[in-house]
Amino acid sequence: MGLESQQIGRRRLLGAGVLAGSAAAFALACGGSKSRTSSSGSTGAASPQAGALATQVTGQAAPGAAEKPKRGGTLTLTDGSPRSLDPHFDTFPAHTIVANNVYNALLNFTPDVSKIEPELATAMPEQPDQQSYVFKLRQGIKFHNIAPANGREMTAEDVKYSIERQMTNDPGKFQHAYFFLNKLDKIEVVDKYTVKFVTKRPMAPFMSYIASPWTVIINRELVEKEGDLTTKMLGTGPFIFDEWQKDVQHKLHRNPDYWKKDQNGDALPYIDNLVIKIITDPNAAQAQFASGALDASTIQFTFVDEIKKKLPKANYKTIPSQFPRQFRTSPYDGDKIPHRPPYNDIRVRQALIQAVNKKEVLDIVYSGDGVTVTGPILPIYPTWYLKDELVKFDPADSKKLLEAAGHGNGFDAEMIFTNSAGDIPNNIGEVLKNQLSKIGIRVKLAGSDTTSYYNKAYAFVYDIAHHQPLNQPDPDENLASYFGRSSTYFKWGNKQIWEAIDKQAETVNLEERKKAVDVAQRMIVQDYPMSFMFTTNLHCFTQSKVKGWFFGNDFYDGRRERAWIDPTA
Amino acid sequence: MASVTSGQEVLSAGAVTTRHRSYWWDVVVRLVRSKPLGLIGGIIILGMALLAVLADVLSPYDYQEIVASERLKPPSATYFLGTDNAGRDMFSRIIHGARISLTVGLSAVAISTTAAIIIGVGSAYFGGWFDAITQRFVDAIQALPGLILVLTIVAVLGSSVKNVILAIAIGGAVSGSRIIRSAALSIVAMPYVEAARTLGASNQRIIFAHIVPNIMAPALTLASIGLGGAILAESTLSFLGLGVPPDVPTWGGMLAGAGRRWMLQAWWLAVFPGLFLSLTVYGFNMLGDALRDLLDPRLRGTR
Repeated sequence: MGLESQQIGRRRLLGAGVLAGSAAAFALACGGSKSRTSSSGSTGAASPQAGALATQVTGQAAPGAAEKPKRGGTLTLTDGSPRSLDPHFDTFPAHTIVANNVYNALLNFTPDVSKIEPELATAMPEQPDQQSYVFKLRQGIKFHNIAPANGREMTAEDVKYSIERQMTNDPGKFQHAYFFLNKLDKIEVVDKYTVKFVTKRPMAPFMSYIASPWTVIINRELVEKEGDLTTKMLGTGPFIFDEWQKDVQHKLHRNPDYWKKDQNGDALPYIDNLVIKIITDPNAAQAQFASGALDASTIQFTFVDEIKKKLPKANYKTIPSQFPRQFRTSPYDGDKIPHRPPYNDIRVRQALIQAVNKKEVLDIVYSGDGVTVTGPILPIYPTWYLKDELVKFDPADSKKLLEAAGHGNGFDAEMIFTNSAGDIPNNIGEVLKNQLSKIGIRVKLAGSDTTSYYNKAYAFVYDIAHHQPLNQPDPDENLASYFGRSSTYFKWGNKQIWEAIDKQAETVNLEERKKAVDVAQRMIVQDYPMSFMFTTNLHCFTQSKVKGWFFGNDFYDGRRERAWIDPTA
Repeated sequence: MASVTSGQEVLSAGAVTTRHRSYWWDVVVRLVRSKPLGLIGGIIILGMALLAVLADVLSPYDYQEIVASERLKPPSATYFLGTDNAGRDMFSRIIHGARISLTVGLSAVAISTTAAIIIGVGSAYFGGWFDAITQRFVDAIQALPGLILVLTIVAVLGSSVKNVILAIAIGGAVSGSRIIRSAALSIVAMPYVEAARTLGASNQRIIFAHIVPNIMAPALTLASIGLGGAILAESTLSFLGLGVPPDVPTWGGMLAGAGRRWMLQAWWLAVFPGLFLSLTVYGFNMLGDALRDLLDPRLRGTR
């Protein structure tokens, strides 16, 4: 925040100079030219998998699963550029692929995100009562044999230390404190290999939060030596962290003492080195995959046919992205952040949301390569997904609503978004601007780099935005951390919605919880905080020589411990 | 015509206007006769300027009208240069893009050349500590690669047409001032300047009546060559996402956006903005080269 206000100060100062110095006139045309009938729906270009989520996430066997794995080699993957490597204190997902391979957690999601399995725990926890969870830990699990842990055994104390660290609340930082802060009564070390969690109230998302790739068990000595885990990692996982070269790559090597074995009792992992190149440009990713410099990559939909042609033997599958697109109206928290007019009028919000033709945005920007969504939870989580579309696309009604709200002539609105990751966000902004212009909203597009955008977006002071959040397997994370009473990623000060969200979080019975989640989602959608637009398909490729692992989903992608390289393929 | 650099001509005040006009007319005539590439450059520039000025009249469609059913149509009689992924007419967008490119290019070069003249002539005429300090500043800024300097300025000021112009102008002014200073230094040492000073002419008079008119030839050459660079710089900024806002059509923006994303499916999205950009930069460079040859007495007679 301090940095942001400083920047604005300098900009204003220099801006004054600009006004004084430049005498040029800028006449931008908006001419009276031929008009063409506007219609949405049909699209000109064929897309690889237009119209639907081509493959639901499944537990499909990885290529080469039945063959005898070979040892050695380097697996080169790619991901975005992280801000920090701290799994507890940074919610920016680009570090998670590294964390997934360095750390373990008590529980872990299966790659299809449908089930939770024990990992550092020997079994799922015992529950002496509804609010207590007793985990038995595997014995003899060692931290990586490097300083400062030097192969020390991981015990119940480490579990308590890690979860308590995750509960640290440092305002203004993004962290996962919301998982357990104010929700746990205590974490008790029963003995060296037994740890007991007691929740304050019944806590339906408990298991999901314990299984989150962010609730990993970290090493206390490293935190004490380094002060934090911003640039270093040390865990019990399959790979040992070597280095993070900012904006270049992460390097990891095999943990020779890893505790997990394969079905034949052979030590995992199979590969010697794991390299994660930091690539944010989709063109660069496809070029590097095509040249063989990357062993696995997701490929932008426009390049899929080309890659299939160039590398016919490469393994390919589409999976739905866990990062949906949302068009957001101005947030408020009902306390320090007031609801700015005119967005505090539900008629105005409804007008804006009804003017957004999400299918058209998906068709124009992505050639329809994805699905529109109905609410805060994505269709990849069918247990929780809101089955009905409660918002109609109806610009004519929007105009009436604006008139009734006293904004018949429309109004000006600044739309913020990040455009660091290429031109797609710009394009989405252009289409939304065009759609909103039809009900008289004059949008100014204010795309910026990710840091500047986050500074504005997470100060929660803006008119409108389009955003790409991460959707999680547990409904609570998609509801409470956006619309709940102590939300992190968005603010919505509707107290009735808070209560509905609290209710589902405390409803442990699955069938009852489904109903409670449904009620909460309906309340949210019909309060028109945002348009839940769509999610796109991810086109995942691995080279034919990569065996034993394939993309399971785009985030809870587990460890690469079973991946192996077949030099003969 | 060599007399243009002599003090005599400028001092004989009565004849100045008519003889200057005939001089520039002569330059045009010689351009047509002896510099065919320069002439082609000039015609391209004139064509682009006409497209830009008449964009509203020439556009067959509204350049920002999104029509989902007409997306990614190849060039045809309906859409000369095809449509982009939002169903917008590429021809209309490209000629409106010409407007941005030329506005940015001309404004940036006008500002940078004016600033270069002020810095360069001031530095050469006053000399001494003023020259030393000014030139160290120029050295410092010149040490930065041009693109990095422009990127930094835009990153600090934010992206808008105005800021892009200013950023490009600052970059151009600094390097241009060196050329102007060296031209002005030779003029300052001329006997007619000394004569003017001896006769009691003020600094202002000497600068504006004797020095500035005599460095107009290198300044003009600098400007015409700088224009190509400025247009390219604007496209580079747009390509890198730091140019003007995304809903303003620019050639660089079109190349970086739909052009790059769809180049395998829809070649026209990358080819046409690239072609217009290359042609314009080529035009300015050819015209600039020809003007340099025609205006520099040492190069006169070369082709």
